[in-house]
Amino acid sequence: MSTFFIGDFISAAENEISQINPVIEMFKDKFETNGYLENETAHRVNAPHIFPKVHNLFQLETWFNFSDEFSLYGLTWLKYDAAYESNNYSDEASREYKTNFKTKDILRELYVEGSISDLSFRLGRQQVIWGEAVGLKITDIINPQDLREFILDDFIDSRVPLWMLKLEYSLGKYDIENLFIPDFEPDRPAETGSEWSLPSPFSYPQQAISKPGDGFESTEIGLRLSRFLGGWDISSSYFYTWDDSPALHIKEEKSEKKVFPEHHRHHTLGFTFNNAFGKWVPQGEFAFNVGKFFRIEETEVAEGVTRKNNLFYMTGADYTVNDNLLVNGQFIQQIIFNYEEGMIDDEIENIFSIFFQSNFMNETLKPDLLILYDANDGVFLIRPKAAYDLTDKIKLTLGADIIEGEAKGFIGQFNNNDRIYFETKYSF
Amino acid sequence: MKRRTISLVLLPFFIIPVSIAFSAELSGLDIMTNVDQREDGDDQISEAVFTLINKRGKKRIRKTIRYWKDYDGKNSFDEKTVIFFKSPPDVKNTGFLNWSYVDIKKDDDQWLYLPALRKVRRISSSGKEDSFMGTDFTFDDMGDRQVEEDTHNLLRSEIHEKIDSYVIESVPVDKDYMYSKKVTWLEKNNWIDYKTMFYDRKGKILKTLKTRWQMVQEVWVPEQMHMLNHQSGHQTTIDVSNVRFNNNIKDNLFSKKRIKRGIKK
Repeated sequence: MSTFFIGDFISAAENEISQINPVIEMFKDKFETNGYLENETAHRVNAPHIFPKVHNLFQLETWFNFSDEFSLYGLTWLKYDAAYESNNYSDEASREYKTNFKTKDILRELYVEGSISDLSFRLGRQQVIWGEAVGLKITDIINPQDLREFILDDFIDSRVPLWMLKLEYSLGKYDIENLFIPDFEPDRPAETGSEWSLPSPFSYPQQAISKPGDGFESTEIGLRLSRFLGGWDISSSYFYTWDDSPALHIKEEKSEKKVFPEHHRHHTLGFTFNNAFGKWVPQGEFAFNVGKFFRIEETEVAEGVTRKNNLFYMTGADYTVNDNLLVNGQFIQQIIFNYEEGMIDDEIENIFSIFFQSNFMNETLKPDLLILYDANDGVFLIRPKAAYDLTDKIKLTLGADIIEGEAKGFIGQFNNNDRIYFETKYSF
Repeated sequence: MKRRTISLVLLPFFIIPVSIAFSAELSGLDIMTNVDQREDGDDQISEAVFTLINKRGKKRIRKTIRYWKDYDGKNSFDEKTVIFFKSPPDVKNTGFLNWSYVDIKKDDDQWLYLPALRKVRRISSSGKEDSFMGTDFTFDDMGDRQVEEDTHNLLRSEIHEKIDSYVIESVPVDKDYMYSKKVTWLEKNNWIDYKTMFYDRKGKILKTLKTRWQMVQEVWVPEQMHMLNHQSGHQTTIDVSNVRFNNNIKDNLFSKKRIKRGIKK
């Protein structure tokens, strides 16, 4: 009797499942996932010989495809850096950073995207990448940056995704991109006590950072026009933005000097180009910033900052030597207009870079080398790396970040932080 | 819908009418020109699985989906191609876009979308002798080569592997080209090339390609291609499936904007 009952139950369950199955199959067909599990371990070359990074990351990308043209995308991160357990971050801010770090980007990206005829949209938390430069950001300033590893982390990982609406459409021969970003987030500085943290240039007490208010006040707007003209890819852009790094105003309050960090608006006009001539791919990227704040020696009239226009640009080229070697060279310059005595940045700053990318063993072994030279400070940033595909799913990477030169300037200040690192990545 | 480029060694990208008349009087150039000018449809979608095998027998797999459209000279374009990578996982959604032009002196324009950078990069199209995705096929092997770039000689007619065949030797006009010559066996009945031998600059045998064909919508397309590099011991097999012609593919698929979005399942 009981056997009959169980059999009945199983039969009924099978019947239910067979009815649900088509639904499961239908959804299964619409779901796609992709991801990886990665360990990145870095070791300091100079004393103290610690492991400043033992970073473990699980990334999961999921697509739900409503149709060929509409989908929902999510990217989640689960991360844990064991270095935070062993290193001595004693103050409250760094302890808080350590606690928040694990959960900060659980929902890193989430958006719906679709297209109707020539109009496509993407709505949600996302990254937008503009520009051409290798290893530096010029017009790639839509998303703020996580400076946990200075500028050494992969940009795809260090950009902080923002909630925004992106529209793309074509008008004649022009492709137009509109950004509407109601979500202001500043750069995320490295945590206090970290080897990449920037010490305050002042001994005065620092007040809370003044950020734009909620609502329309914080909104950023971007517009980019691009077209293909006679073999040239050209684009021009306008970004009405907030500076993601606060300007440090020195003010007197109750007869005491204090630092008042404040984010300010500025405008960025951009232009990029590239073309291909045989083995050469010349390219360029220009950003003209209007009304950006720079540091200046504090005087009775200046609050330690001054508002200027500046031009930040790159010209360079890729050169394909052969099947196994690509070389990229860049000249990068920043010019501050109406320069004033006492400004901390140089009026003209020059950076040169060269990048070699190679592959061997049918693209199983891929070494590359990036060298940046800060000509004003005489500082080199040297980044050799070799990635090896152990299998289609397992990649091993060995690399180093070396800073050579005097302990001054944007890069040189970290000249004691040379590191070697090893990464193991399992993709699925 | 006449193609201006030719390769006797390309993927699904080859399509050959079943009945092209031939004559015993044909020269090597005539044969290649006939193949070059075959009817090939307005567009094509196909999937391919690349199996790369090193000399120790270790395999790597790449899966792609390819969209191709014939522009037949419209706005000076010859054809446009998009290839999306479906696997392995770390290159999934990588997109490759190629525009080629009627003017054979004009280089193709090419872009590559790398999901790891979320960026479309303009790439040099000069690397026709470069390996395609680390396989034993070069871009030229994959179909970028023009008829006029080689001198074609009909060496002989013979029964080879029980097939009545033409044997054609193709010597590059450019003496610095990566191959000193190619020798191709073509099936007389349907103009299908089923074997090609490639010789390096020193005249030594470098690679052998063998192709098995399938009939789709009344045209021949490769079903499996196997390239063996005799010097490195590395080999690549390409299995082609789901070939579909005349799908009315929209023009906006062949754009930088579109390759950033990848391809849905």
